[in-house]
Amino acid sequence: MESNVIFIQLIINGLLIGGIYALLSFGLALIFGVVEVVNFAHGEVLMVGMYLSYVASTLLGVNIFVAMFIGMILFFIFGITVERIIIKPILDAPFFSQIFATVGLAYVLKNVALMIFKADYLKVKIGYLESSFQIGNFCFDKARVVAFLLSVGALLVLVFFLKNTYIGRAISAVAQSKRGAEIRGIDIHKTYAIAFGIGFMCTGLAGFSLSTIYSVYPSVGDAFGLIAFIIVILGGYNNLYGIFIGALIIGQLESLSGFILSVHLKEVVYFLVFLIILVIKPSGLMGGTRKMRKRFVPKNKTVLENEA
Amino acid sequence: MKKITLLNNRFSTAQKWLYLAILLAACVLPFVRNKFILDIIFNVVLFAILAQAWNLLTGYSGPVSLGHVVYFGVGAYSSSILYVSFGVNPWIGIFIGAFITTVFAGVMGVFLFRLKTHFFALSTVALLFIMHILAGYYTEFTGGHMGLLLPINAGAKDMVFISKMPYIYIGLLILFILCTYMYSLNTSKFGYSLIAVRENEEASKAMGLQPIFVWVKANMISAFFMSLGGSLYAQYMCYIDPESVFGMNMSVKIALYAIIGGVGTVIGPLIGSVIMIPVEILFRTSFGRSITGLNMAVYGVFLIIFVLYAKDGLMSICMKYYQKLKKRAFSETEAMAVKAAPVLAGLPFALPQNDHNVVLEIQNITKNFGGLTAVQDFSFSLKTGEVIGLIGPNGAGKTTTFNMITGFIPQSSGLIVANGHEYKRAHPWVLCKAGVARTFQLVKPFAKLSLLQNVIIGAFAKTRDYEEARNTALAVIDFVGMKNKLDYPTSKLTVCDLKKLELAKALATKPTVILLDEVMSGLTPMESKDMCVLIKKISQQNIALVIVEHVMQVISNTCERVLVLNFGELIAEGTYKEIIENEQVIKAYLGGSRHYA
Repeated sequence: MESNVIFIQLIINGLLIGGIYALLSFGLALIFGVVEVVNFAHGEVLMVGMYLSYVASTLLGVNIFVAMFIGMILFFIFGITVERIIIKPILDAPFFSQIFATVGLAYVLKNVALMIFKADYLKVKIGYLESSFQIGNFCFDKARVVAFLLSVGALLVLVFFLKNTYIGRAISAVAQSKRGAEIRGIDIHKTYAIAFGIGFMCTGLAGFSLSTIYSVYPSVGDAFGLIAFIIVILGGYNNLYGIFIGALIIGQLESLSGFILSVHLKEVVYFLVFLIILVIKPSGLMGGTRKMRKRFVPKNKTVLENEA
Repeated sequence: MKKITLLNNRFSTAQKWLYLAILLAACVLPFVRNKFILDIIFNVVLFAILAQAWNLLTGYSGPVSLGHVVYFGVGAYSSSILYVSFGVNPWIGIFIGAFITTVFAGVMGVFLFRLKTHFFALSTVALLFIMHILAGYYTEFTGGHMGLLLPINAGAKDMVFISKMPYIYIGLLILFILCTYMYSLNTSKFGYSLIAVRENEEASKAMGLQPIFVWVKANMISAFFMSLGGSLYAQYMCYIDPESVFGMNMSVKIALYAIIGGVGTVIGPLIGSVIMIPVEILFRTSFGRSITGLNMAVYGVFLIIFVLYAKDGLMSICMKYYQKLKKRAFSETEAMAVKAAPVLAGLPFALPQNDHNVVLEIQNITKNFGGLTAVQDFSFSLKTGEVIGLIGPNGAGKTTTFNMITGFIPQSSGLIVANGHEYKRAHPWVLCKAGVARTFQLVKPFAKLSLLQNVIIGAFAKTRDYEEARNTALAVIDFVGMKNKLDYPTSKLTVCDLKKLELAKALATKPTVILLDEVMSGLTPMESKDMCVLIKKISQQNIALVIVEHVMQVISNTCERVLVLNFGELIAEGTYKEIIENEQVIKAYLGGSRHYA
């Protein structure tokens, strides 16, 4: 009986963290799906979000939700800036340049954080999120629940945005076919910038959410960045629902392996899972660039029908 | 001339200078007394080894290994654990460690090289993370995060020295061996294979190369040197911990040094380390303590700037100015090669005439894509020197057939018999060695190489000897009539030249049959005529040809026999005259009865 309760508790924890991971991964998948550049600085963008949350709520004492709102606008601008300065010149470059340009960005962000905040583990403290509440035998951490609800809410808004607004549809169209979108009069470079902005916004928001749960330190993005990659590969680059399921799976894996094996080995477990998936189905789950750039919208929607 | 070739003999002057520099360093070293400077020199040598080893895999053969330092760590840990826990002498231990690492790199390579581009890079990062965590977790041997302390028994016997000097000499020796090896790649089959798989994976398969095998081999050799570096580092520091040998920072640094110097050249990574490391160490000692992270942040900026604006590194910038200075549009060695090349009427390896010899026999090949049958029960055979055309309307299954015969698509059933050997679902490289060569409709040259080097890659399919491959290549280029363009980079060739290059590459593999995929597309009528003459010339060398073509005139000019495919089935076979009179063929092309035509 006792072990049953623990087991279900672990699954609940995994579920809650999985929701945040979904938001985190969606930022990566959106950028990859639309711009076809893998952003190796993804984890570092998350780290910036966590530090921003720390600065706003702990150092400046701003309400975290207000900070989050302002932060999202900042991240949107951040994303567009990065796209214009670093990504645009390497859009048609070989993958070698793409990898190292974004790795360079990652190192700049990580080490600037190290210079400013040192290597200390910092914790965002928000009084009313510290406690937890109980339903039946199970304990719910308030911070985790709020973060989960925020992430899922943000995802729903995003899906609505992608399906029902002109810009959203333009993004989906570019993700499906660049040339097709161009012929239909969509400015693809503007779309790239917006995709980067939205991608960074998601990641920043995920950073805010995670900062209420985990400590912040300069290299925090390393592991989370890889987790995002794992989820995106698990779920598919083009499939929002797939990403969500992938995130939940990784959440469970993390929660259960941390308990069953050792907290120190939980990363090894999902990195191994990642390697094994990549190696067993390099074509199925990854499928070369052609398959990656498919779509973020369900098949039956004709993206461009309302434009003409 | 724009960005010439990486594999060129004329770098041999650079090689002499390099050896001279190493020798000079070795001679001057005993007079350096300052420990701080010696430390810098050791670091330069160590990182030069690592950057060079990384360059061998990533710079020469393509895959970006972001976690390459994992092999450094495995080497460092295995030799140290052997020494500390098992009492193995480090002089032996570093080789056992290198052996372990090489095997590890081979096994990992077999799995990881199935991934491409970004995913390979990610997987290497994941591998590095796993090893980092495991080294910290299994404390029994590794000492966990506290690190592993090597017993400090000073003495040559245990490879622990009080002076820093011996370490530098050992490092220089390793570097010397590594650089010599890198230079030997210029004229070896393996060196050309590396460049071929980097420049064009598909085309390299058609040249008889197995890309995964090439990558795994490069990874193993690279890991071997990384491991030697790791063991040397462990002996030098007498202490290792997971962060110092499995650190992501180090991986990025190695890559940065190579990129700054110039990836894909021998000198580049050395220049990068020689310039960057002293700067970094001085920088760290003067600012670093107060502002941790500044150096890596600056590195990040460097990385971005170099990748965006000087992707080929300092080496190529220097070379550009050097070339402007020298104004050599034509490199000496290649110019000499043109003079030396014998003028040949035919190929040196023309096959003996034997009309009854069947060189290629296709037996009932079928291809199903899910429920769709693209090609069904298609059979034909080909005699020595015969030219046949394969035609059919769009979607008839020509390309699928073509790809099945050359191994690019595995057939669902059926058999390919080439020169008496049976092949079932064989890979392209196997069929290439069996004498079945192909060209690509969308030409796939090895972009950064010269025309001659492109053809040499083809010639290496049947030999390991550089001289022989080179002579074959020269003869083939002469044969297709491009002798005056030997040294042209492929970017300067016209469409027609590129098509001829495809042919030359195929010819260089010494095939008995060549499959030509729309070799005329994009050519002017004049060029087309030229190509027809060339095709006849090839068949006179008793090499059989299969031509897939839309231009009927070409078919009528060259082909002795024509096969017509429609919806994956053979609907007609015969001479050109017979085919154009055939009801079924007209129906297939025009979609109705004869009066439409």
